[in-house]
Amino acid sequence: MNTRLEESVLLPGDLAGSRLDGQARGLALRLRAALAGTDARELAGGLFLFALGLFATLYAQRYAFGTVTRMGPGFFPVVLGTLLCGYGALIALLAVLRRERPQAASSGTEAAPDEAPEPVRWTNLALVTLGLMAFGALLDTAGAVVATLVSVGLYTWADRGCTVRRSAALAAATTALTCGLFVWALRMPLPLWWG
Amino acid sequence: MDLLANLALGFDAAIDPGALLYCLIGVTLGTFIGVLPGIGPLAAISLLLPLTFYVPATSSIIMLAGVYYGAQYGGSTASILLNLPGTPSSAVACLDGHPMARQGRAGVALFMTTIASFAGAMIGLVILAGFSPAIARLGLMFGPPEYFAVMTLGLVAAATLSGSPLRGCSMVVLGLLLSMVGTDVNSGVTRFDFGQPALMEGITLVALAMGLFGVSDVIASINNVRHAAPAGSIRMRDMLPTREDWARSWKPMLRGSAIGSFFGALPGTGTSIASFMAYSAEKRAAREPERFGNGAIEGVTAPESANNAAAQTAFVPTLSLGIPGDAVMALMMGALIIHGITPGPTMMTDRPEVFWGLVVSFAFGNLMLLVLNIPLIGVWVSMLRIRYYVLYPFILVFIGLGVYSVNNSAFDILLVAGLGVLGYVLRLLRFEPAPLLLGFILGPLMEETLRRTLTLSGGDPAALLNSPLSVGLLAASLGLVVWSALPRRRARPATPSA
Repeated sequence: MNTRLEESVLLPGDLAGSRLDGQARGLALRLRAALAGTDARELAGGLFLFALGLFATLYAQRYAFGTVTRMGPGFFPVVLGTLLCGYGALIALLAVLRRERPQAASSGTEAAPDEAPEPVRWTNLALVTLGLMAFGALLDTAGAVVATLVSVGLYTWADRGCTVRRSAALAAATTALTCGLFVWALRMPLPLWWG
Repeated sequence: MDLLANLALGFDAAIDPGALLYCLIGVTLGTFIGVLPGIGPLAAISLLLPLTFYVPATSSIIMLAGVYYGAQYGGSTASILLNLPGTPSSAVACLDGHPMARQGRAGVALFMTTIASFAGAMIGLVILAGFSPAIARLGLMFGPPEYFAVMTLGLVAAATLSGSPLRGCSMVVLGLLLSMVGTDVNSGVTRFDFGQPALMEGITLVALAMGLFGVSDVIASINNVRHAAPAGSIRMRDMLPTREDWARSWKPMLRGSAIGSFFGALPGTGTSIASFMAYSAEKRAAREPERFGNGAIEGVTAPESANNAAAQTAFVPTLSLGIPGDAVMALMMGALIIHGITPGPTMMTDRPEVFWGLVVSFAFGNLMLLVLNIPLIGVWVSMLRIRYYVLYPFILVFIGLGVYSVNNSAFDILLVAGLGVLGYVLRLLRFEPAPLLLGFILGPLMEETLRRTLTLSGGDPAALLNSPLSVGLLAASLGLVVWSALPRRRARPATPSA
């Protein structure tokens, strides 16, 4: 089954408490009731695209739009941004319209659109992004060797079975291999060391 | 004869020691990443893109293509031995390949998949060489409006044929938007640069491909790649198929190649669909369908010849019209554009040595693969012992150094990190990155042809519908959109809540 929007998503525990006055609470409850059974990923996907499209459209206002005969630099960005907004809105709308009604869900005949959604791998996401950023920051300042050692040190900890020994060994091996490949075999102009 | 002269020209280009070396590197690397579950041809080709800056145009495409069709050979090894597909297109080979391995016939299955792959690739190659020149001659008659229409059809097909049309189209639009970043050639205005001088030349294809197919893949795969080491080794003696194996296999190989050639050349359908179609066709045509799933040799040879044939014919629309059918072809096209060659009908006449050199090198590459995959199969089987945790730090460093080397810009590394996060978010939200890449690569070309059409016609948008050909193509695009939306509507009431 899919993850469906549940109480906790729209109404986190502390929000449900006394901090909300009656009116807002009523609104939140009504929203929750209206969206119950909606495929959360589908809705989020639509809203994400809508936001991207909206941003592009608004940002492109600074470029001249022109006319259909003489298109300005802003013509395509605005058209595409608006189109993306439309697609995003449509995906979000369909997610809400196609939500699983409680009775339909209980009969269990309505086919779920997909298998279980992919779990979010926060550790992988954080360590890989951090490692790449460290690599980018260190490459010009500390040189390729230090940058590779540090970033591989970060990457390796995303694996659950990682130990200090394994991390160090992988960092040393990867550094030797990649720096050797890029600098000696491919003769790329890379700063190996700082200075 | 014309064809013979062309083949001789191609032979001259492909026999060059440099070209042969890159071909060997490509097919070896392709087999390697094909064998390993967790890294596919798309990620590997993205990783290799920066290296192509240092290599002549023809050699770089020879290498990248070698990775692509080499991966089709290697992919079935893990399917057969471990029941884990090495690449998506060899998932079907698990169904009968792994049962064969459990019956102690792993060697035979590996031998026959290599033969089937070779047969499929050769048939696909004949179709590539035979049909491309004719299609290119047709393409030479295209003006800007026809080009715009062909590209629209290609994009629509890619967006609608793989998964949900709505989601596919939205990814194409996002890709088109990303291609807007940088200096607009018509007005000189820099768009979406956010004050970063590094963005003035736009997002590089290398950064986008590595972010979408490299970084986000790694993020999703760490701790998530199943691993199993194969038991024992494969001896040459165990690989020899019986007379019955041959008798059962040759017709399915031919049918699989035909199915694969067809689906490979269509935009939006690739090697995975081809292998699946060939398997189900074989099962339907079989006199004893109950053998399928229990180690039927036809269930291995038909899909494997299909995905290899598809890997060859996928080059038909890319090289003859400049319309890539899937993400891998879009990357190939991007690599050619980096070298200042725009694939399409004019390439066939202006740079015939590129096209014919590729055709002949594909034949060489497949011969190399025959050697790599039969006598040397033991090497690849032992590669299956490599764990993903050893591999992924190397992949990430390779991405970092590779993208840096394009412009010597550390900013591009941060860009890759950002695009990797974007790719991962899109993946979590179940959006396909392939149509995005197609939109990104075709975007600038479409904008240019549309503007040229409108400039030539003095701004009359009816110029897009001036020739019957462009009307037909645009109508086909529209029809595809409508067709892809229809069955869903019908399917809803057809599955009642009874």
